[in-house]
Amino acid sequence: MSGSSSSERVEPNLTPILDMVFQLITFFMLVISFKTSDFDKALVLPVVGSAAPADEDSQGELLILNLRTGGKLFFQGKEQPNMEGFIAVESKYLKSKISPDAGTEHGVTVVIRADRTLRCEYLMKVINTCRSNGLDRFDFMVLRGGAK
Amino acid sequence: MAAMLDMAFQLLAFFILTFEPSPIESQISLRMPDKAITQGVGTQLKENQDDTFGLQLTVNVLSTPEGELAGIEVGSRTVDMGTSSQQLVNNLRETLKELLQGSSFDGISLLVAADLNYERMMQVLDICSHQTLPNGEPMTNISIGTLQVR
Repeated sequence: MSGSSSSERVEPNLTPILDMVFQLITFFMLVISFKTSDFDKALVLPVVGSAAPADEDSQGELLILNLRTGGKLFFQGKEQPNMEGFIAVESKYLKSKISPDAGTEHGVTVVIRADRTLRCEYLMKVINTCRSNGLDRFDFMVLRGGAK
Repeated sequence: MAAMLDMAFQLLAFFILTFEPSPIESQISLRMPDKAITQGVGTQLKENQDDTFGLQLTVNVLSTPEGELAGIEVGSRTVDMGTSSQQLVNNLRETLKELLQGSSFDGISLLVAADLNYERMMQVLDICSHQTLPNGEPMTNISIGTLQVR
């Protein structure tokens, strides 16, 4: 008879472990960020007491500029030796992506991620180049320090 | 079922190995006037009248050759150095609060020495961006320029 218990194989119930693994996968899929190529990991951002959390829902286009010590400009992991030319081309491209009917909040924002030891003269060079290309919105990225 | 579990574990292993949590970043947002303002030390330190952006309070940030804060001048007033750069920054907060109260300033013109470290500049900028105008509105009109030492 098929109901004899002596030859029956006992298998563990895998459903709970599979549920748990899928939940873990869901968690990692939700927290993974594919934007990290924009961020230069070699930079040490300055620590500032009370800056506002980064607004990830900001409207418009972002031009993310990474500035290392010595004033070297990095964009998406690559050094850009011709800073002026690069900003001129990128600002033109990003502005062309914005619909003319879009409101004033849909502009191009320059996101500056600079090393804490960078001399201000290099920073001002970048800011002035952005201004001369019609970019006037700036977000300076920092790390939030303890309350002071 | 076992095959599905194998695949799920492989996916999980991939996500665990590639997971790299980054520190949470904050931002200081500014809409900067497109007119660069530069000014020499000791000349017309009181106020900076700008046609487009109204009356601006000038903050001059001086630096040591190493990039640390050497002093701050707000209008015609020199901020007390104290014993550390942190104390100087705290004194700046009080000075700005005092000067902006009941004044007719519409913004701040921040002039920083070329040698200054970015971190020190951000600390000063943070203090400036947390000020309020006499009408109670937050300070959003801040321009940054290079301080030209003669």
